[in-house]
Amino acid sequence: MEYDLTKQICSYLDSHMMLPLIEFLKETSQYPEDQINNAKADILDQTGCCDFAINVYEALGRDTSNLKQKKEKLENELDKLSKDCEYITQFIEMKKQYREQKEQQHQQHQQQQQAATASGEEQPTTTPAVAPVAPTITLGQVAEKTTPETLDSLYRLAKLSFEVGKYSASRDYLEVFSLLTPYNKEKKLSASWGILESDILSLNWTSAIGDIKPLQDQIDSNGLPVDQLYQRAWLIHRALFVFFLSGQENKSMFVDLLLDDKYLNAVQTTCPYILRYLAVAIITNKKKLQSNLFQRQLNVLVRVIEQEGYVYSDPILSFISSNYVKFNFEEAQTQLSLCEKIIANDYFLRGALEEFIESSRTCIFETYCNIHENIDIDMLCKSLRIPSESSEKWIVEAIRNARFTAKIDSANNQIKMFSQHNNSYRQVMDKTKQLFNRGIEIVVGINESRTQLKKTGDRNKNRQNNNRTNNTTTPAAGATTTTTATATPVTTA
Amino acid sequence: MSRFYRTGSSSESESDSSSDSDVQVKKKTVYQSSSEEEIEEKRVVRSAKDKAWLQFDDILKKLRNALKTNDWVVISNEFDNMTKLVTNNKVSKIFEKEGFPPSFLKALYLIQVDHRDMTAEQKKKLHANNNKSYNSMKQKLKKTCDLYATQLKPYHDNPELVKEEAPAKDDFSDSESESESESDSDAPSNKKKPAPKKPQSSFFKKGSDSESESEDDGLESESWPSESDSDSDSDSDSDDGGNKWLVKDVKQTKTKATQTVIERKKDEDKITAKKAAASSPTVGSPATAAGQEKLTNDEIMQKVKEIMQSRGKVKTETSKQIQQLESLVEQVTGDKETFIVLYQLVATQFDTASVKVALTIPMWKNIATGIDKLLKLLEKNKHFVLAIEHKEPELEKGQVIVYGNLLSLFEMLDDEFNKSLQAINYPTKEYLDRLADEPILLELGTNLQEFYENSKNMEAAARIAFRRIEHSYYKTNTANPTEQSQLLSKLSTFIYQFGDERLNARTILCNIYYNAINNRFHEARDMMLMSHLQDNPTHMDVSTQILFNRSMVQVGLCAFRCGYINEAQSCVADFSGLRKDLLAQGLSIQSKTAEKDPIREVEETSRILPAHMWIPIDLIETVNLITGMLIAVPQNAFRPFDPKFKTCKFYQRHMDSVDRQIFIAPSETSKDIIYQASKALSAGDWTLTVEHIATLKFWSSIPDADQVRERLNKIVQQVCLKTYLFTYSVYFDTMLISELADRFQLQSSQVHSIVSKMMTNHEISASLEHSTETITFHRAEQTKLQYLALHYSESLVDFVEQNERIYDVKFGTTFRKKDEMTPQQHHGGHHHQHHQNQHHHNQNQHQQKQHHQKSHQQNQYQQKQQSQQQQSQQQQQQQQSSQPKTNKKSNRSGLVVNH
Repeated sequence: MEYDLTKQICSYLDSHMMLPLIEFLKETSQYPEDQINNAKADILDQTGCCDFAINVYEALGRDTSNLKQKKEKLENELDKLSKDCEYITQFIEMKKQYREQKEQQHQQHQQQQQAATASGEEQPTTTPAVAPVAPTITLGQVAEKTTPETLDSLYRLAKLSFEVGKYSASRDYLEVFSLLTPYNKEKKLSASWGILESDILSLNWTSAIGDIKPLQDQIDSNGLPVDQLYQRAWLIHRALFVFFLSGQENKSMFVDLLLDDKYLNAVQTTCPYILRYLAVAIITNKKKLQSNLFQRQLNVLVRVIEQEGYVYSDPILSFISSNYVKFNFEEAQTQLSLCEKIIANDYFLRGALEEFIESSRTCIFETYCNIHENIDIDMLCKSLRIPSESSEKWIVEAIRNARFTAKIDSANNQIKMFSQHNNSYRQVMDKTKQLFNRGIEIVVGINESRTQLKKTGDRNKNRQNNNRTNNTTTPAAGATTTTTATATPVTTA
Repeated sequence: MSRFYRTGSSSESESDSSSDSDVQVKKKTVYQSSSEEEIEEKRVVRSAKDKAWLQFDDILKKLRNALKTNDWVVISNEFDNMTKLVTNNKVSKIFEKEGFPPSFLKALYLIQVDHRDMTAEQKKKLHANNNKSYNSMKQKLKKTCDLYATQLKPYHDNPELVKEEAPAKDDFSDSESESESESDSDAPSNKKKPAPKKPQSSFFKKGSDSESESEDDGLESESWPSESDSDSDSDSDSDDGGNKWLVKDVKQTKTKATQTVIERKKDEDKITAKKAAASSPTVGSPATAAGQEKLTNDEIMQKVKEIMQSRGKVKTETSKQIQQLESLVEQVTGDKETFIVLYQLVATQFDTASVKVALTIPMWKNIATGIDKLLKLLEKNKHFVLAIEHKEPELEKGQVIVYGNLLSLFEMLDDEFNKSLQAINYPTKEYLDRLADEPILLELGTNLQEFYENSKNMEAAARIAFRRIEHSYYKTNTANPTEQSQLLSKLSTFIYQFGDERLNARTILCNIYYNAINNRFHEARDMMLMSHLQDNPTHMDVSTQILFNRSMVQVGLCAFRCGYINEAQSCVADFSGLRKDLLAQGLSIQSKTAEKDPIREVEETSRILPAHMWIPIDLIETVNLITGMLIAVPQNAFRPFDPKFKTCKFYQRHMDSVDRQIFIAPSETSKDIIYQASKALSAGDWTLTVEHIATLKFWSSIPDADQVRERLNKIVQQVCLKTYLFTYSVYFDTMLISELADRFQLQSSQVHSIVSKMMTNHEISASLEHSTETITFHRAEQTKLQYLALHYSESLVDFVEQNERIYDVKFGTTFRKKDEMTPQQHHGGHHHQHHQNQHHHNQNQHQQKQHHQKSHQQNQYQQKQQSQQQQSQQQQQQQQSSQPKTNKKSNRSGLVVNH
């Protein structure tokens, strides 16, 4: 509860997006339930999801008449607006049908093929599949027919459907809208936000991931610095949804996004608590990265954590700094045990708990090994909470992953570390090793280009020969001169 | 007329002055006057004065005749003669004593009047030649008459004087000589007067014109028509805000700066003129007349309009105008009229200042009260709408427009305040007294801002708000800090809301500065980051850049106080040494060879901040050196030979320069002390370092010095530990952590973390032993030879890369095929073989080559062989490079040949 970030995060979110967080809070039972219910009702009040809101209100025993009125009003407006944009909605429908048909056909086709390969016969398809009816309305036609007014109502329609909770419909509208308004940057930007949020809320992760990059570009390209800053902060919060909820492997993209200077800057100035997510993402990503890349990311993280230590700190960040700044492994261990609880209670991180704990252990182990020569295995296992029976296996695995030169001394129950430092001799060798080859490459290249030059020279010579067919002696002389001419540079070279 | 002439002639006249002999005069006049007169004068020998007088009489006679017949060619000729005569040095000396000959003045007057009275019809009748001379006369007349306007005045006022020759002559020589003697007694410098007044040079013309314009009220009515066409520019000037003011000021100073002598004289002349005017009851200038009888408002308005129109022109005399306006203000009735006159008065009062010279303090105060009065007037009369000229606001019923721009007046007042502070030495009592006037300014600003806010002119209000911020953001020891910060935040939010981009940026910078001096490092830094001002500081205007630099320095000093050494170093690094101009605390240093750029110098001088706002340069320098020391000493200990690590340039340069000295003086300056401190630090003696630092003078200028010192000592201990490990770890096999902790007075956990960090960063090669709490060192640090070997191999890599690049440029990347190359492993084996082959091949290399290339194009091995022959030298080099002890020089030459 002390380290719960829901409130801070929610300040950057749309009320629609707060709902899942609030729901999750209910599960974790960090707060009294009635508080959460009230908060939920308040949030719902701001949205247009009236039915849902009415349910919650009734459960709480609040007056719902206002909501009912609002619902009617919204419905009326929705009707009116969709009438205004009828033509566009038709277009969208048609496109959708077309896509579906195509998909169906594709599936059919695949089935047929499968069937054909299964039966092993060549069946010339006598009944050609019904060709998908190409949409009768093209985008060009739509663009012709739309007036600024309809475009405006389309925008409002999209907004309203989002409010009401029809996220995918809203997304469709917005997509068409942004196609039709290539020049109104401001509206286009908000349309892009709308698309991203609709994708997130309809859990359409693949397209949501695709939405982020163009948004980044749009933010970079316009607006005052301060606006950009806040837009980036918004984007970061939405990226939390996209990258942490869509699956473990996408966390690296979150790291990439945040380690961009501009975004790191935004985190530092507006929302330093996001560092928690960055830290978790980097640590859990450890295995997939090369050690030097991981080290680089870690260095950035450590630097930022130290810089922001005065405004924000939590066990996860303390863990990082006690492991990588203070090298106090006992403290790191205690912090890690605190982390468990926090991560389990975090909406975005709960899925990554095990991975994080495991990675963190490896981190501690590796730093410990890095600076110690002889390591007592018992002590290590105790502090890392590895069951002693599987300890040896774990250690061997860890050593192998970390590419240490280390050996286990069973008699003394120790790990013996060997120096990691490479000496100057080795370094010089490594550096100069491939120089030879590279030098040769150049020479080969020069030779090759010369032969080509010579070829063209020969061709020219032949032409000369043709011209002077009568004189037989001169061409020969000419030939020798040309060869020497081309050859001389070689000797000098 | 050139200065040469002037100085030359004056020296001549000096020698002449003792002997007033006729011969010399004659010669002079011969030289100057026409041939007819020459003959006449040779015969008659008279006193110098009489002779001159006679000459003028003669000319007058001729002129009268010519005027009667409208023969402008003759008039023109005679006029030239006359002016030549007057400007003749000898004659002018006489004039000084005796006054101008009445005949000369009469002649002038006659020509003037006649010229003026020529009707268009008469002009048409004139012969072509005649006409030409008539037109040229126009110019000449203007020049000359202006010069002698004072003397001509009586004639204008009383034309009868000209008619009766004889009596007038006496009268006038009396009155003239009287006034002249007066002026003589007032101004001994008058002696030089006639020379610079020569009308020939256009340069001087300006000065003399302006003089006559302003001093002569009687002529005013005549000169109006000719000037009315240029009216519009002159009065628009007064309203368009600060920028235009400057331009105008510059224009004025062009003449003013060069003609200060004349200016002074002008004043004197004016006084003379006034006195003369007052003494004779018949001749009364309207200005003095105004003092006697009450003028109606309409008349006053008319008068103001005239003054407005003449304002801003080169020839206008401001102090005169101010007097006039002041007298008008006293008489005027009605609020609107008062406003107009008062506004004009204030605006004119600003004219007394120039780019270099600030307003005098009483004048400044006058203006301040003037603006205050204006404001009060506006507040009293709610139906007044303040508008900028040329802009017609929509009026509601009962509202009255008054034109004026109080904002720009206020800004100018502020600028003048700074300018006057610039001129006063700091810290003197005078300076402090002047500084005590600041509240007047601030109060006025507060009221003005309120007024603009009420009249919904938020932009102007924001500008005033920023001016107010500028007067408070740098103050540290205010009586009431909370009030100050409240005021700042209130004004800032107001500006963020209504100000333009530049104003916003400057406000942010001021806030950064304010946070920094109040030890709020993180806030200041975050603001800097948020504002993105450091992305492209060069895009800002100069004064904003200076503000940026100031804030940056303060952030650096703040970082130092808070113990953030790296941040402090990077903030402060650029601002040490002689770059005072970056902070507007001095002029930029120009190289002695380069020519001085006066414009730049003036600009820089005008930018210099008032001294009480300065950030002490030696404080910046000391902080720079100390942070540099704390960063560079461990770096140097870690990699003594590697220049890459020498990051703190200023510090390094200082150390190097002291190192070069044979005898190192006992430490007196802070620079020397820091040198000693660094030596102690690099020897691992932290107590000595701390002692040295404690003796520095700069502690007195740091608030909370004790805390800062404590923080700094902690850092010194840590840095010293690092340096110690770098330097002495070679001589140890193991070290006890507890021992280190004891030696450097640090907690063992701190030592542990520092040592561990150095290990993981591969700065020292060591490891910890958990059971015994010791550090085990693995091997000696890199030797110089090893370092050089590594360095050499790096240069080799660079070299090959360079070759590749050259190759790519010449042949394109397509020829080089990486996949053709066989892996590296064979290299050692082949080498011998190739070496032997080389002799064999050498004999008929060309043919062989052709052969190979034609027939065995696909044969990679062959190709490779060939290329390897050529590369044999490079191979040698390759081999040698892995054994750095071999002769490197031969290697290099081999490479070059290959290349």
